[in-house]
Amino acid sequence: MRGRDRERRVALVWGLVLAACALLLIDQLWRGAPVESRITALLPDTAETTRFAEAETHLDQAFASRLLVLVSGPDAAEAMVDLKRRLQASGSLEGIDDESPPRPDRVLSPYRYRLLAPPLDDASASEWQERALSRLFTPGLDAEPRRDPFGLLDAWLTHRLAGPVTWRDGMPGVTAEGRRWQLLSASLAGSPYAPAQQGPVVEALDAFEGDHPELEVLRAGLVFHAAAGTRQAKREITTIGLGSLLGILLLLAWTFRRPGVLASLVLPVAAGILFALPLTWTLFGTLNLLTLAFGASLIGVAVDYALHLQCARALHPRRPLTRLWPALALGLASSLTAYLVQLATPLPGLRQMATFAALGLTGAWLTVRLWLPRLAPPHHPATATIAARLDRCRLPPRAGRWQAGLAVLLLAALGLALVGLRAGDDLRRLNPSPDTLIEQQQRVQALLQRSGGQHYLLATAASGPRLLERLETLEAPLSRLVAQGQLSHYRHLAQAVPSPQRQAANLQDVRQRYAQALPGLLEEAGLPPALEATLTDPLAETPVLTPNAWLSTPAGAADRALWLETADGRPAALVLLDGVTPRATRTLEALADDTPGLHYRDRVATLSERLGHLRQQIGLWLGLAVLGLVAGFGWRYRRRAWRVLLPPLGAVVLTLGLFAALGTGVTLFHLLGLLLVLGIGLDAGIFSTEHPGDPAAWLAISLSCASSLLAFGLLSFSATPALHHLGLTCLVGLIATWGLVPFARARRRSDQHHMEHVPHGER
Amino acid sequence: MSRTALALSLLMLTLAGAVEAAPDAGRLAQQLREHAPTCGRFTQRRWMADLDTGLDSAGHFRRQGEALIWQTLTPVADRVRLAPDNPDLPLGLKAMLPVLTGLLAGDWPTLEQHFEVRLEGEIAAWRARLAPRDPAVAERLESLQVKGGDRVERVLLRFTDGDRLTLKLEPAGCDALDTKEPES
Repeated sequence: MRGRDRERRVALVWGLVLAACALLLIDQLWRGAPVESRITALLPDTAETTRFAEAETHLDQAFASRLLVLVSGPDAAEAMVDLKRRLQASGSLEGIDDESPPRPDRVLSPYRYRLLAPPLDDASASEWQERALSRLFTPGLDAEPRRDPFGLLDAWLTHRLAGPVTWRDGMPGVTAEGRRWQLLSASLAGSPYAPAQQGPVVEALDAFEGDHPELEVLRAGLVFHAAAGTRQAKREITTIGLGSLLGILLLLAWTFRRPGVLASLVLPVAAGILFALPLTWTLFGTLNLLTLAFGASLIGVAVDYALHLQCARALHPRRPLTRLWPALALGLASSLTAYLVQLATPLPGLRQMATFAALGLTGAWLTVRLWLPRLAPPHHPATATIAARLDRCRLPPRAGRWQAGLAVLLLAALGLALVGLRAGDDLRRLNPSPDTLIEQQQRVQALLQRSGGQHYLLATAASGPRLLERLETLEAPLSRLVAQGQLSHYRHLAQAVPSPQRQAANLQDVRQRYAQALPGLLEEAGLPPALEATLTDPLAETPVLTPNAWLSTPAGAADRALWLETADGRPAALVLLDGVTPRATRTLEALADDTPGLHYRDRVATLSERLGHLRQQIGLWLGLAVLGLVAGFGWRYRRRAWRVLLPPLGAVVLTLGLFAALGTGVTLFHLLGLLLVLGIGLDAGIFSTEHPGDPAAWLAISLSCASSLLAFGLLSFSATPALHHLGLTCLVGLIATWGLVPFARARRRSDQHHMEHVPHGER
Repeated sequence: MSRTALALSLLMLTLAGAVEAAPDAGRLAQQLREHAPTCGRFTQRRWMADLDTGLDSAGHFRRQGEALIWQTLTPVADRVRLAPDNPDLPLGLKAMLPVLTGLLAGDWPTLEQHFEVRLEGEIAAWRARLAPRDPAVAERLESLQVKGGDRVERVLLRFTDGDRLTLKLEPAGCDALDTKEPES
C-alpha cells in the first residue's frame, strides 16, 4: 500500500515536471529562441573555419539572394518586359537590375593612362604607332584622337572587362551559337529559403512559361533550388507522410481496436518530446532542425515500451506488470548507451542529437513506467487472437538447417561489409534538386561565364594595396593553369583594379610610349607636329583607381563579391575559380601552402569531407557502443547473450552487407538509419530473451518493427537523397530485425514455459 | 472660301504625292541587295573638331561574309578585318560593324534594328537619315546620312562631339583591287 502511494506521488511529480517543461517550451517559443538550419552548424568551429565562414557568408550574400533568368525565342525582348512586370507584381523581389548598361568606359575614362592591357602592354613603340594610325583611318564610331589616340581605354575594356553580356536595344543579353538570350537579373527581397519569398517568384515564372510555350526559359538561383526542395518536401509529406501515418493508425487500430489503447501508445512519445525539446534547447542555446528531425525519429523508438506493456496486458491481464520492468529498463539502458556514447564525440551536432534522443527516451520511458500502469483501458479480445496467430510464425522444431543457413548468410554479409563497403560522402549526390534545374543552372553559368562560387582562393594582406599586389602575383600561376586547360576561368579584383604600384609603373610606360610613338604618328598621318603637346597634355595629372572607387559604381557591382573586410579589419580578397580539374586542385593547394595569407577552398569537397568526418565519428562511436553492449549483455546473459544481440547486430550486418553487395556508398544518413535499427533491434532482442516464448512480446516486437517500417521505411521512396538513404536503411534493417527475432526466441515451447517462470538470477 | 478649300485639297494631294514618292524600304532593300558590291573603292574624310583638323584617306574594301576588309592605301597603308569574331577590334569599330556591313549589303532589316530610318527621294536617287536607337550609341553618334541609287554612294556620320566622317563609295572589280593590294 505504501509502495503504491509512493508510485502515485512519483507519477504526480512526473506530471509536474512535464508541466514545467511545457511552460518552458511555451516561453522559448514565445521569445523566439534561435533555431539553426545550416548543416555546418553541427560541426565544430575553428579559427580557420571562421575566416572561411566570413568569406562564404560574403559570397552567399552576393549569390544567394540573386536570381538570373535567360529567355530565348521569338519576340523574347517583348516577353521579357512581360516577365519583369509579373515578377515585380509578385512582391518578392527587392529589385530588378539596372535597365541601362553599366558603362565602365565612363567610370574608367579618367584613369585610362594608368590601365595598361594587351595588346599594348608588351607592344613596341612602332606597334603603338600602327595601332593609332589604324584607329584614325578606319571608319569607327569614335577615334578619340585627342584623349586617347592609342586606344588605351579600348584595350582595357576589351581585354579586362569584356564579358559575354551585350546590350541590344537597351536590354542586356548574351548571344551564343547564333541565338540571342535576353537576360534578367534580380535580387530577392528576403531569404531564398523562406517559402513566402519562393512561392510568388516561382509561380510568376511558371505562369510566364505556361503563357509563352514558344520560348525557352533558363533559370538560375538558389531560390529555385530551395523552392524545388520545399515543393518536394510538401509533396512527400502529403504522400509518404500521410501514407505512413494512416498505415500505422490502421495497423494499431486493427490490432488493439480500442481508442484508449491507441492513445496510451502515443502518450509516451509525446511526453518524451515534450521533456526533451525545451531541455535540449536550454542546454545548447539553439536548436538545429536536423537534430530535431532525427532526434524525434529516435524518440519514436519509445513507442516500443508502450507496445510491450499493452500487448502484455492484453494477453496476460492477470500477470503483474512488474514482470515487464526488467526488460523495459534494459531496453532503455541499452538504447541510452548507443545514443549517449555520441556525447563523447567532439561534434556539437551529434552531442545535441544524442542529448535530445536520450532525454526523449527517458521521458517516454518514465511515462510508460509511471503513468501507463494507472491508465488501464479495456482490451479487445481480437488482440489475443492476432497474437496467437502470429505466434505460429516461429522456427520449426528441428531448425538446424535454418540456423546454419543464417550463420552462412551473416558470415557472408559480414565478409562483404568488411571487404566491399565504401563511403559515399559526395555532397553532390545528396543534392535534392531536380536534374533539369541543375542543368539549367549550369547552362546559365556557362552562357554568362559566371562562377558558381564553389571553388575559390582566399587571400589576405596587411593593407588593400598589398593585397592587390598579392593578387597580381597569382596572375602567372593561374594563367598557366588556364593555358594548360586545368582551369577554365578565374576572376579577382586586381584584374579590374591594378595595385597602386602597378598603376604607377603603367603610367610611366604610357608616358614613355607617347614620347616614342607620337612624333611618328603625327608625321605619317600628315598632322601638324604642334599637336604633340595637346595630345600629351592629359597625361600630366591622372588619378589612381582604388577598389572603392571601382566597386561603388554600377560597372564594378559585379566585382563586389571579390573584396571583403574581415572581422579583424584586414582586407581579404576572393579569387573565384571555374572548371577546376583534380590536377588543378593539387596545384592550387600547393600554391596556397607556399604563399602566406593564401588559402584554397573547394566548398563542395569541404562540406563532403565534413559530412564524411561526421559519418566516421558516428561509425566509430557506434562500434564502441556495440562493443559495450556485447560486454554488458555477455555479463548479464552469459551464453544466451547471442539471443539479445542477434536481432540488432544481425540486422546491422545484413544491411551493411547488402549495401556492400549493391555498391551503395554509405553516408551519414545511412548511419543515422542504422542507429534507429539498432535501437529497435535491441528492444526486440531483450524482450525475445527476457520473455522468450511470450506471444505478447512477439506481437509487440512485430508491431514495433511494422510501425517503424511504415514510419521510416517508406522514406526510401523519397526523392530527397538524404531521406531516401535513411529510409532504405530502415527498410532493410527493420525487415532483417523482424526476420531474425524467431531465431533469437527459444526453440521449443517447453523451454519457453520453463524459462518464463524462472527468475532472472537463476538462469 | 471654296478657293481656299480647293487650294487646301491640292496641297493635301501634293503632300500625299510626296509621301508616296518616298521609296519603299522593302524595294530599296531588295535593290541594294541585288547591286551590293563585293568590292569597291572608298575615299574618307575624318573631321576632328577638338583638333580642328581633317584627315583624308583612300583605299578599297572587300566584303567576306559577315566580315569587311578595310584597306587604306593613302596616306598610310593599313588593313583592318572588321568582323564580329575579331577580338582585337576596338569597341567603337565593333559598334560600327553592323552599320557598315548592313549598308553595303543592303541588309535593311538589320539597320532598322539599330536605327530609326527616314527615307526620302525616289528609288533611283534616295536619301536616308538614320538616328541610332541604342542610347549608348546615340550618346556618341548623332546621325547617319546616306545617299545612293542602285547602291550606297555616300555616307556621312555626325558625332555628338562635333567630329564628322564622310565616306564616298564606288564599286570596283575585286580582281582589279587585288593586284594593287600591298602586303600587310
